[in-house]
Amino acid sequence: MSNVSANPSTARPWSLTTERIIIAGVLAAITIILGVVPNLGFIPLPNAIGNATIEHIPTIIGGVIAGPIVGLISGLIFGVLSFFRATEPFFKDPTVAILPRMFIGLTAWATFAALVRFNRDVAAAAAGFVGAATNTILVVGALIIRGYFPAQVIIPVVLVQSIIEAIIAAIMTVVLVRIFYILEARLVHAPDTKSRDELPY
Amino acid sequence: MLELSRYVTFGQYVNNSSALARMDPRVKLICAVLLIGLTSFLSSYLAFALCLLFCIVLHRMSHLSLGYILRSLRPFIIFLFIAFIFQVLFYTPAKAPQWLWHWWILGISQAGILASLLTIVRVLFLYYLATMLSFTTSMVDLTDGMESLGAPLQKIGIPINALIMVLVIALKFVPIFVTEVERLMKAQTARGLNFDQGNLFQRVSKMALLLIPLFVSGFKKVKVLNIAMEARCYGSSGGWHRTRLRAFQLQRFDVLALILTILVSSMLVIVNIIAF
Repeated sequence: MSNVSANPSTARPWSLTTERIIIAGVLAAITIILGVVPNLGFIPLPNAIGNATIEHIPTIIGGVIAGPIVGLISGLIFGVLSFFRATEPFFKDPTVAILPRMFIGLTAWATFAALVRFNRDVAAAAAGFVGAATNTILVVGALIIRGYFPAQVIIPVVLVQSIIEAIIAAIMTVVLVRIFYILEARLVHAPDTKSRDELPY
Repeated sequence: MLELSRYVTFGQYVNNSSALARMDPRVKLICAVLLIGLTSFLSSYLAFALCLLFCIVLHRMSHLSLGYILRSLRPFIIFLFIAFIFQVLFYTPAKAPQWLWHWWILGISQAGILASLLTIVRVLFLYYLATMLSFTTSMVDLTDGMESLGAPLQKIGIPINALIMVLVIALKFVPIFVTEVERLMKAQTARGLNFDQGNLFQRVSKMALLLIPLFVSGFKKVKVLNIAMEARCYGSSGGWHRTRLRAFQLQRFDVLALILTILVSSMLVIVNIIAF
């Protein structure tokens, strides 16, 4: 039996504890919310396609805070969701909608695990960037391989958008991972950086 | 905009007690996966014509109006059309084709039009089949069906039950989070925040005002639910076996439908090979 107080980020990476199942479920729910609530899951951009999505952020967070297996599961659910409620008919193809998304959490976790011993914030930012980049590169790659779009057309169209998406993901990942560790340590507020006497309040 | 719970409909299940809606979810899933897999690899017009015939039968059984399904397709028609034009223009054939019109890397050829049209037809079929599955199956049926179909995978060590549990938790949490987002939006609007204005960075920081509280409450709910589930002995240790509230039973119709789908699929594969 797994122990209740085990930190999900320090248990063995590939084992599936109850807490990890719940984290994956809650993050999947947030993914659904980002998808169905109008104006929440995307940020309008002044370019051809128009919107930078942030729907992959819960998947990245899942990979970072709860290990590769949660990353894999939330990626799978993200993919299945975008498969079922796709707005573009191309995403009704499982090789475009589902398969590439399963790698987001894995690459994010690998980046975070490799860099976390230097600095947690840097590691989280890198993980967010890599996760978002994985999403873009693999989905666009799948679109090209399946022959829906020629490479010359789609790469210039998505380039700017994907860079902005990756930067947003990096910033959000840092903030959300910090929040997770604050809650994990059962603190009610962020830890003070100054000593008690120097604080303004 | 603020009455979110009215706009957010999740799942498009239409319970009209048609034969297709009453079908055993396990059989329906197998058929749907088979057909979707098949359509994404068919490559001749003859096979697609037969597929259309089968879809007409399927549609008669579902008792759904065709307009209702096609209406959901309307926003993408223009998108599909643009994609079609790009595909025709950038078509690069294996051998030198007979160009109808050619300039630099752009060109229109008969082979290009045919190949691109095939892609569009395939996308439409995929869309139809996936939509049909979500129109005739409720989310609970779908997860139950997946769980019992995945039982063999569980035996070889792939945690399919955990995966289904994740899905169930997600679906149960969606209404809670919708109310939460609604409350957060109202709270911020009451403070004079306009979510539809500002440049990129302002928009991102406004988004963070909603996202961060959402994640915080999510992480807190994880803790509570974890303790609640552990206290009720949820977990998978050796020899543990969870039972289900509703048991499925195969009816004659389900068996017939399964056999028919397998027959049609194998026929389509044969036609596809012959026509190629």
